[in-house]
Amino acid sequence: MSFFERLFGVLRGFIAPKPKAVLFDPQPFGPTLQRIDEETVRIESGDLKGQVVKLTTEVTEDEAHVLLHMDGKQIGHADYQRNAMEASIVLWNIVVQENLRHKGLATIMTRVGFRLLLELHKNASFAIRMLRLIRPSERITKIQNVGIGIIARKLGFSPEYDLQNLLRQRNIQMIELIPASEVMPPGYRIVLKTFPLVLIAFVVDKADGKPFPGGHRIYNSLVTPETAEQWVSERMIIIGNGNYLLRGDGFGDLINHLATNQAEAGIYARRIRSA
Amino acid sequence: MSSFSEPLHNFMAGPLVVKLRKEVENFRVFNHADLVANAYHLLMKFVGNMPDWHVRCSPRFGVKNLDIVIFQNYEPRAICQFIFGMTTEKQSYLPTADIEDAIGMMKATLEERAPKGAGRAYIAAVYDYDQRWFLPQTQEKQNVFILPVNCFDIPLHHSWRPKWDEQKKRLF
Repeated sequence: MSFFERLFGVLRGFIAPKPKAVLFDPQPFGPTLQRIDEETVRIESGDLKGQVVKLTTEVTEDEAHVLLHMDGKQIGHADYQRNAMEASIVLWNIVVQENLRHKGLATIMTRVGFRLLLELHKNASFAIRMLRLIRPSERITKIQNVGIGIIARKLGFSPEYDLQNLLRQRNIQMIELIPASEVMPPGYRIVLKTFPLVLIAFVVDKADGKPFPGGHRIYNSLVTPETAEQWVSERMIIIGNGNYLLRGDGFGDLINHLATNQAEAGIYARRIRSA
Repeated sequence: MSSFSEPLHNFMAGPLVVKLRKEVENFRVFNHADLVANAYHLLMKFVGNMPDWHVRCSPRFGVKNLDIVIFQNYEPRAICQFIFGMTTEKQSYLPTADIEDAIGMMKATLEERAPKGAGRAYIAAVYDYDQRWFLPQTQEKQNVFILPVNCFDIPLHHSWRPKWDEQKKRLF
């Protein structure tokens, strides 16, 4: 080996990006699946245990779609935008047939879509687009984006809004309780003095990440500065009408929920960057 | 609801709060019993001799003991709980747990004793707190009302508060 080859070798060692150390700690994410063939899986746990679903994907340069079929009928789809302004992978729409909601199907489509796109993007940043601006005078009768909000929290995404700042007591004009509906937990309509003027939010148990059911003691709670601080710092509040971004502190959660083994976790860790 | 229910509600939500704060400001309220006594006096003056209306202190509702209940035709129309959250130990304090417990208790009592929206519950809380806080409630079917008597809003609070603390210590 010549002197120059040895020199290049040493320099390459300095310049080449070091693989990030990943402490892989696999976490369950949605129902477990048993692959039957290329596109068909059997759901092995949860409310739909034993059901066979077909998952197909369509990918173009700008977008990707995950389509979910059961008994020959489409029951859901997830839509992703690629190389968007806010991130290189943006989940912007996810729909599940009404009677099959809250059974883990959105989680399956999110997982399949994100894994597929992580294969394609060598340098991936993630966002979930849920932004909707609401007028303070607009009547809100039920909360929105509950399922995807819970998924976002689980995967380590954090709100694009600076909640610490927005939920200062001096910035809040009013907080109104949105009653629970048949399938939705209660939520809050928070009217602010500054942009975005209205936040639609719900509160989850910090232990299991699930919304508190209607009638829970928390809905008799006063919202004091300490409460708001706790909601934000312990990631208990989920905003249903604001975007979610994957930032550095959430990489571990995303990897642990998507990767299936240590090698894959290492690859993901090298590819993911902050949105 | 009867035609007197609305004036009563307006009195509770407005003048009663102002008058109670005035009583605290004038060094007449130092504990829970003082507060209930003052509120009873004010409510008796307002309800007066309205036929079929009664103001009762500490009526027994099963195991619950409510501070004041206003009856119409022997049916509870306004149930009131009073919370005194001022101590000489803490200068800025909101009795959060007491208010939250009272909310739960009042909701349960209303469901049990005055179903179909026939009654309202009032929680009057006297405290001294320099931060803003909120009680999220639905706009419809609101039947539990907080009457906040915040002594921080008393004019010249900075000179009033040491005097109140001093009197409280001397009057036990």
